[in-house]
Amino acid sequence: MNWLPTLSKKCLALLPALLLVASACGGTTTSGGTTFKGTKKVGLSTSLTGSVASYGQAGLNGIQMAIDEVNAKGGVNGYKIELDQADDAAKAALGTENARRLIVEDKVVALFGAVSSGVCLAESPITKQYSIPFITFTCNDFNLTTTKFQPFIASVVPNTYMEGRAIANYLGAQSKYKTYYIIAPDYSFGHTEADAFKARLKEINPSAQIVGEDYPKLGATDYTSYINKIIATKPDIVYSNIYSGDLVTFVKQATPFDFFNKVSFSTLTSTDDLQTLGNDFPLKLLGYARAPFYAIDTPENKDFIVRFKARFLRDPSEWAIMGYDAYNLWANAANKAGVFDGDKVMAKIVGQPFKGLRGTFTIRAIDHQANVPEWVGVTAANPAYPFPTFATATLVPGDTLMMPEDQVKKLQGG
Amino acid sequence: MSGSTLALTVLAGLSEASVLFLVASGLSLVFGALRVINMAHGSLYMVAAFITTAIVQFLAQPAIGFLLALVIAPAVVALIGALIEVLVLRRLYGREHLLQLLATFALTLVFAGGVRIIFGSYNRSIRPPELLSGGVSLGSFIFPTYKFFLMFAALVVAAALYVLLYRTTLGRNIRAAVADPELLNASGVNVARLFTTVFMIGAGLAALGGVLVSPDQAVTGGMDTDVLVAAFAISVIGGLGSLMGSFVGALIVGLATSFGILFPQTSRWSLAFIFVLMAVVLMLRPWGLFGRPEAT
Repeated sequence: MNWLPTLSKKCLALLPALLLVASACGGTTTSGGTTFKGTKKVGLSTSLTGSVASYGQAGLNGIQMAIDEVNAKGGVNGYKIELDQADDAAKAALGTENARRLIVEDKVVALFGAVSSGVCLAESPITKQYSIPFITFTCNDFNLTTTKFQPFIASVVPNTYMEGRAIANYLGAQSKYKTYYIIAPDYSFGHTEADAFKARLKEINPSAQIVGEDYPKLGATDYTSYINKIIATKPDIVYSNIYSGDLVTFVKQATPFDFFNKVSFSTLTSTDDLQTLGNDFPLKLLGYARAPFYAIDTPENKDFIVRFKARFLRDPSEWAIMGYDAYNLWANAANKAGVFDGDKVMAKIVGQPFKGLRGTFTIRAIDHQANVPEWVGVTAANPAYPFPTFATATLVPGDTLMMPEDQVKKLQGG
Repeated sequence: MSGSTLALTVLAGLSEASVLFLVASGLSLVFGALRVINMAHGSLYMVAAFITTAIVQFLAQPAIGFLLALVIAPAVVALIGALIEVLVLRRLYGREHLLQLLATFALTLVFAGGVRIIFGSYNRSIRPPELLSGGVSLGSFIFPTYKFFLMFAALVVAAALYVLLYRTTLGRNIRAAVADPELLNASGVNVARLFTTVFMIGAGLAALGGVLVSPDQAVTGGMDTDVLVAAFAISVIGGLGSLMGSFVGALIVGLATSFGILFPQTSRWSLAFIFVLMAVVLMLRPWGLFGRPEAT
């Protein structure tokens, strides 16, 4: 093969460029004093535009930070890892196209999940087709790990079954709430979580009544009619899982109606939305959150907050924390496996304890769902931050929320 | 249904119609005069909303910032509109609509990327000026002051557009361009300049909508698409190129949405109503309720 020596000479002559394209030339690369065998890519297809882009950006920041830190310690299997990102604008068709391109053309060795569950459900079969580990850390429809389960998925986010149960346990235990109104985005996440909430509520408070349900489209920009309807219905409490830009819009439009003084309100309470609304975020709101940075009492998280804030000039939201955990879960497993083969990496992910920012958790063998916790609490002003936080954030252990294995088996068709 | 529920539903529909009218009237005007369906119309609305949040957050004064944004954002966006018309659209007049659609769609991607680079991906929120905050008590119910302001603003703009179109030379030329562009070409009017002006007015109207919604909703990188779909439906129902069509179309869409949401049986279908209505209008009267059939 005469072209090989020729190519090597060209590479030497173009040393600076060679450093950038070392993997293409088959040589080593040096970065920050570390010498790598080459470069490998991991993919992230997420929402970087659209009403849920705040969550996508936060997740991207968390993953990027994890990649840089792991690279600084020698990378994965001696390779420097680069992030290949793509915007899905919360559209399943775009997510599918991104996933296929990242895997087939860009040769990513792992794919990290999107914000929207609809997008993740569309991407998951593609990762199975190419045997690429697919780690989800924001999208959380429980169908991903049950009816649509495939062996290359792993979820480090509490799924809709777990989250629905956590908030149903919290609200259902308060006897003053007898009538409930549900408002949720009209796609898989909103519906599956609302269903899990209703099912659990019926178990713990059979007399509770659902007096109204609305499912506005994801990205709705006018909630006035829904707000009027809820006020007219006079429920004891509203269970909501609208989020990101939709929640910000809802809060802005509901506040002039004196809504939050008239109606008890419970919703997903993400740090990004707290940061966007600042002190306009309602107080005394009964919230639930997947990884509130201020409530996670681990030394790893405390260190992470400092590093994250120094780099991105804002406190890390749930999606950054879980994105960071997602990447480290994969990187640790790939290092343990010593290779990037999807099936070998998955064998090191499943069933083995992993120490993340939220503590130690395990990816369960039957559905590849991590036993990660959920937090619930009531919002109150906090002088330490320019936005409210939970006055007392109560950790609900993941093990108490996981779907029973026989139910998982049934849903998986086994 | 109680009287207050009915009143609140009507007010909700009217307030939604207000902003939609501003945006749809610009889209419709541009199509009527230039025969171009501007897919980037929603992008101009989004750019104005981000400029508004930047001005208000920079000044940290909601009232002054908002007033400044009402002037600066439409002016900046109208200039962007002029650049689009001169650099992109002029090359496409008379070409098939598909090319125009592709070119303006490409612009939506450019604007989406540009907004992300300049303003970032995080959602933004600004407060309305103090004077327009809170609610107005109307007997047994409260309705937000800012929503009344939106309705008032839409009426003022509708009146101003009427005066512009029916009481000025520019308006006469625009109406002539809508009615018969070829005849206008032969009448000695500087058509190139007229088209740039019309596009700037259309862009300015989209921008005005973007400024006005900023205190009322999250400003996000996806607000371009949603408003474009609604504005397009309004323009089809009302008639592309017709001011009255945009006005009535916006009222129909706003009220159909709010009444659709009101009833549990129809709540999940409220969005579909609009498109069913659009399809019916297209079948029975393809030029819309107030439009004119294309001259043959």
